[in-house]
Amino acid sequence: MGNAMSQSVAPECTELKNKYDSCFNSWYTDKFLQGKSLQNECEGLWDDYRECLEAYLIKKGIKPMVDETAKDAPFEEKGELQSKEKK
Amino acid sequence: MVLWYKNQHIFNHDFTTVSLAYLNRYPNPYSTHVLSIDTLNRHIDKDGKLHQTKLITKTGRLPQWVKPFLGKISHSNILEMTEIDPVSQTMNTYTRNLDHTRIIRIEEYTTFQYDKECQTTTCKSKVKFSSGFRGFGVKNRIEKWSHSKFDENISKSRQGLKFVMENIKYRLNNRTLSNI
Repeated sequence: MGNAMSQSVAPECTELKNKYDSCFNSWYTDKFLQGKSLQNECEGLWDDYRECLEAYLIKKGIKPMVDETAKDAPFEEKGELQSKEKK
Repeated sequence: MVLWYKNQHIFNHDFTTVSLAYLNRYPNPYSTHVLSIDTLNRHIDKDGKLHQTKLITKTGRLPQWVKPFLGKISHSNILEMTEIDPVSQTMNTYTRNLDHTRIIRIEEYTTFQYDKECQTTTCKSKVKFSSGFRGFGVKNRIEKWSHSKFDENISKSRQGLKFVMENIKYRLNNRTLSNI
């Protein structure tokens, strides 16, 4: 991590991403993990970042591949695999 | 062809530090091949668990001998899914490559579980290598490559995580969280 923040795949979205990530990290640490909030409080920043990112993914033709893969539900499968192996 | 590898490690950090480090693990000096990471989606389910889907891009890291089959690889895309339960202090993660899957598909399942008594976080990883590639002794080469790659990767990613953990711990102690 260092002092550098991570890059977005779309250079034009990196600034929006960093703003969202900073907001997310504070919310995650101070609210979510403390059980104080079930609402992500970074909505506005998220919308700006996501809009920028989606446009890039569509332009590059990556979006269908990503959407298709994200439909998998690996955690259920994982639970099964783990319990099987433990026996 | 399917190969499984398992690995376990205990981090001497609390769940906040470990999970925050995982979510913010790039960039770090041990993962210079990682170019970017983006959040594609996130939601909180009815049980209060946080789900996130991320896209990671890396510079091509497939071995030289694969090139005749694939041509030039400059980038690869990795999908990461995480599920975090703040009550049980557990984080499940899943990553897999999105392209070159005909040659090799690498899926990693990891669980991070906080232990209140020991005040440590146990990390259990399982990696699955599968390849549908046949002929020309490629299967054996992939197996060998997977083996060495796995050891190298797991050690590097752990060093990277530890580096970020120390950094985050310092920031948490000093409450300079706004720029994690």
